[in-house]
Amino acid sequence: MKKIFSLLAIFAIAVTLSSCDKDEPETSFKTDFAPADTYVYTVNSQSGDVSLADGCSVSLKFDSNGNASVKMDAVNLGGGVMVWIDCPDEKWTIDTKTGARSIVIPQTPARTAGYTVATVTNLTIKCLDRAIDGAYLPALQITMTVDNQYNVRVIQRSMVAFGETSVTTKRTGDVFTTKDTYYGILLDRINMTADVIIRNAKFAANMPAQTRLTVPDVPVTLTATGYTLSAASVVPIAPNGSPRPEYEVTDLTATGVYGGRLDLSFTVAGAFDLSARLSEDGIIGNN
Amino acid sequence: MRELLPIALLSLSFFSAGRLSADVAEPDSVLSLREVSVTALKQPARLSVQPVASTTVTADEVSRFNIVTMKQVSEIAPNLYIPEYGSRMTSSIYVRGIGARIDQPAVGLNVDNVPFLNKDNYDFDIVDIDRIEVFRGPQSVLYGRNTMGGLISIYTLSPFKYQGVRATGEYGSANSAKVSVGGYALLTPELGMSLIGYYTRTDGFFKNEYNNADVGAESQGSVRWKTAWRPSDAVSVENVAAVSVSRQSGYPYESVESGRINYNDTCFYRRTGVTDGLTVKWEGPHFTLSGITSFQYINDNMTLDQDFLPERYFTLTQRRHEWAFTQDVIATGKAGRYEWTAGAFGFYKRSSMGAPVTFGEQGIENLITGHYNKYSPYYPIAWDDDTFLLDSYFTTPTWGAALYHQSSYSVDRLTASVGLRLDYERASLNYHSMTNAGYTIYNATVNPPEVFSHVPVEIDDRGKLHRHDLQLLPRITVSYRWGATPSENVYLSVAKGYKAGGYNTQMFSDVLQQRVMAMMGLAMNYDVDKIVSYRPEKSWNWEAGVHFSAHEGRLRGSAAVFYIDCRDQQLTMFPEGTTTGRIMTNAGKTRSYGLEVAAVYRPTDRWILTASYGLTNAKFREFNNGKSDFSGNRVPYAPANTLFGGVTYIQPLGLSWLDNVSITCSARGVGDIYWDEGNTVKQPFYGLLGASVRLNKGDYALDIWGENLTGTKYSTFYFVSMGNSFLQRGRPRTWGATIRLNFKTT
Repeated sequence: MKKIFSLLAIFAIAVTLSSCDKDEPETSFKTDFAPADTYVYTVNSQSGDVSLADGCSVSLKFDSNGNASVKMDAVNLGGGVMVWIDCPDEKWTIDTKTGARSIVIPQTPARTAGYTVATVTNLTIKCLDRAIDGAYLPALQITMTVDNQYNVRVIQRSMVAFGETSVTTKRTGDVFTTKDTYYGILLDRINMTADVIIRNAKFAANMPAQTRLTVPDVPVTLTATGYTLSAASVVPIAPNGSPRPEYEVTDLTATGVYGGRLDLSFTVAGAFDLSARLSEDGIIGNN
Repeated sequence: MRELLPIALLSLSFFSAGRLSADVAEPDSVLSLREVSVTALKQPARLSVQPVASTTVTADEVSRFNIVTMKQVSEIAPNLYIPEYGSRMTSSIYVRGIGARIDQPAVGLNVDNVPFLNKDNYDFDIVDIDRIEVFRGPQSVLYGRNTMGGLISIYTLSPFKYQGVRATGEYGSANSAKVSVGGYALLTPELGMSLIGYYTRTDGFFKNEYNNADVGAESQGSVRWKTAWRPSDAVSVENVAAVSVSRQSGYPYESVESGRINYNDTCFYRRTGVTDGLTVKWEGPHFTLSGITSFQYINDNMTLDQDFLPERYFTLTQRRHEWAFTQDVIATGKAGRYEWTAGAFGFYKRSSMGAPVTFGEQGIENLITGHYNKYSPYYPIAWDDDTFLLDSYFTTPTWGAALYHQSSYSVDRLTASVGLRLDYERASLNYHSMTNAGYTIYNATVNPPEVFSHVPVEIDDRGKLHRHDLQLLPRITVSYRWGATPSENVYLSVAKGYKAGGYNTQMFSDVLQQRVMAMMGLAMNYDVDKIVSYRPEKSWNWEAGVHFSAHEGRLRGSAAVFYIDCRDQQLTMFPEGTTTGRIMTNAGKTRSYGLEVAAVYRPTDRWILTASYGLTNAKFREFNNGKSDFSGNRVPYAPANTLFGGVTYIQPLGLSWLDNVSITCSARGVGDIYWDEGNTVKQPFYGLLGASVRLNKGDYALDIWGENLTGTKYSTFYFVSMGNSFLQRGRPRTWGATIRLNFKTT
């Protein structure tokens, strides 16, 4: 009898063991961003001027021991001011709210174009590794203050905003909400316009999702906290390049706060009123 | 109480036929002839002494009931359901609510020790079956992957058991015919060989109204060569090589709306299969060592009118070459009250498949351009050609290795057993999908419309997916012998079952179609890995059972109650919308409980009465597919009840030209079966009546038989494709006659 119970006891351990299975995803973490990937948005706290300059190169390194390095070249603050930042011995953590890798540098010197030293304070870098619809699309957000005068934000030229979209059918008053629809904002600094790219667009529950609708060339106005978009009437474009006049977008307005929320609204085909509460880049999470 | 038991069981069966004699013939025949069966290699040969729910169909019953395929065992073993539909490629086996329709099987199949790895190769005719063993409940410890629901082992006749010539000729309804000839000989006292040839053909039972062609017509041929060698008292060697070729026009799917089978494109299934299994056994003074080596090859082609409509929507072809090796090494031993089994198993399987999908005119119009133009009326499109080919090619190498051990210890009437298997498997999928087509966009805002642009549709996607799984599979049993014989016992068992994960390549046609639509701006992109891959399915099976006998062994039977908790159950679904391919999903959690009863009673030498009944209540505990919540609903395709009953009466005549005549009546019942997760469509319980009269004279026997004598109309399969519902009807009333010749030389 004892031997029987001994055998059974052995199995008390075995029964509690769990099996494991997993797929083997292939991942890569982008740590280098070219100037063509970014813009530099600067608010001069003394003059109140707001500028949007061409981007800078950003090189980030992370190791498994929590060590990090930051290198940013030719950060254009507007008004002829440019800085270079090199911080080789920093630490990185995971932002518990968004899952982004985060580096916070309270203060660091930076070289200027004239080889003087500027002071950079509150340099915060957040980098989110993600794939969207099967495509690798990382999100980068950098903020800092230079010489207590320039409040600087390095943004991506192509931003992605997620959140909740509500669509009201004017005729019936029915409201359809979804979190599957997300938006890309592709800024053109030269023309000060943006393409608003609507992904997985659905304006009613029984409507098949549109993979991508692009609302092109929407005028952009910079503000002290971000930007606004406004367009009276635009015909969106399908991925194959054909116009989609049946989805004409009218009364488009958007207010974006860098590091905060994007509120977007427009009317589609004169029949559907859409409003969306979004957060840029998915990093902030302020829906 | 014992006297009341046979009366109670008899009252369960309103028709009985002696199809089951679970515990009468099998143990002695196996042990005395030293046949090399995998069951006897891994555990005691006598099934009724084991703490497991099992059913044995003996050679006599196989002959009397004309069983030539595994599918014909359906319902004979309680809670076992193997519907016949589609083609030889479809072998969906359900046991206690656990089953599978595509990809990995839930029930394993061994034929002469060869473990068939691919469920698509399960359905073939086998002549001269010696016995069939059906185990219900997880057999994962000893038999590994894909035996979560159970195991079916088929053994063919050995030349050591029979020497002579056997022949069969049969003709029946639908111009169905079978011919087999087998020769069995002992070349020396230690060496026996048998060679069996078989051919069958049928016109099928259904017609395609579109072209009045036979649907379900088939011709199949096979050759089996068995070599059994006993070089010494300690060594046994057996090799079984088999080749089978099957050609079938298949898929008699009837539209629910029209009630007709009516589709325009060709459907067929062709398969060539080669298997070879080598079993070597050495019995030493302290332990026994055995090895089972197998090779399996399949070359098949399934071509389908995938919409099953008279319009040209699309067709699918699946051409495959697959080969597999398995190796099992088993050691068993006994020391006093302690018995043990240990082993190692490995396999490698590689499949190469081409799977082109061709859209026809209606398919392009309704599924692509029409769908697009509905939402883009100002800039409509026209496809360049009236056909559209989406081509895919896959290779899926899979390999696995396992170690297992089982120990049992007996004290007086009590025996406890523990077993454990560590099972590792790695599966890969290399895919290459391609298309080269195009369409023109027109500007319809002007009159007449002008060409706006031409857009090429080019896809050349390659990818690799991998997954690996590690499973620990335990089993604990306790049994108590309460009667005078070892076959009278009660038992408790708990075991873990496992069905491997993998990749459903049939979903690629949907993936590509949606990819094309996404390129055009409609639909969401499919994540290939998310749609095609599925995780392992796991279950815990708790069971209590009893084996009993009475009336000096004239009554034997078994009963069991069970509860199964299943996680990540793999289910096939047809997604909503206009897609047609099935997807495999891990459906959350299900649970199944029920009971099984089976008994055989031979009150006299002239009567054999048999009954079996299975009850299963299988439901989703959690299943939400993102659109609907099916929690609390019945698991589809798994019957709630199975019923079998039979009676045989043998009347000796003693005439010069006729020794005896036997009459057999049988009844099978299955249902209810729900066809969908929403439980909106079902096949109610139905019964099928069969009967046969056998005239026996020496080496000759003539059977005249009928099946489904009441002409019951029932369905064996249901699915929805592109919003259309289809059913496969069960076989109608059939008649036939079979002549059997048995010239035994020793």
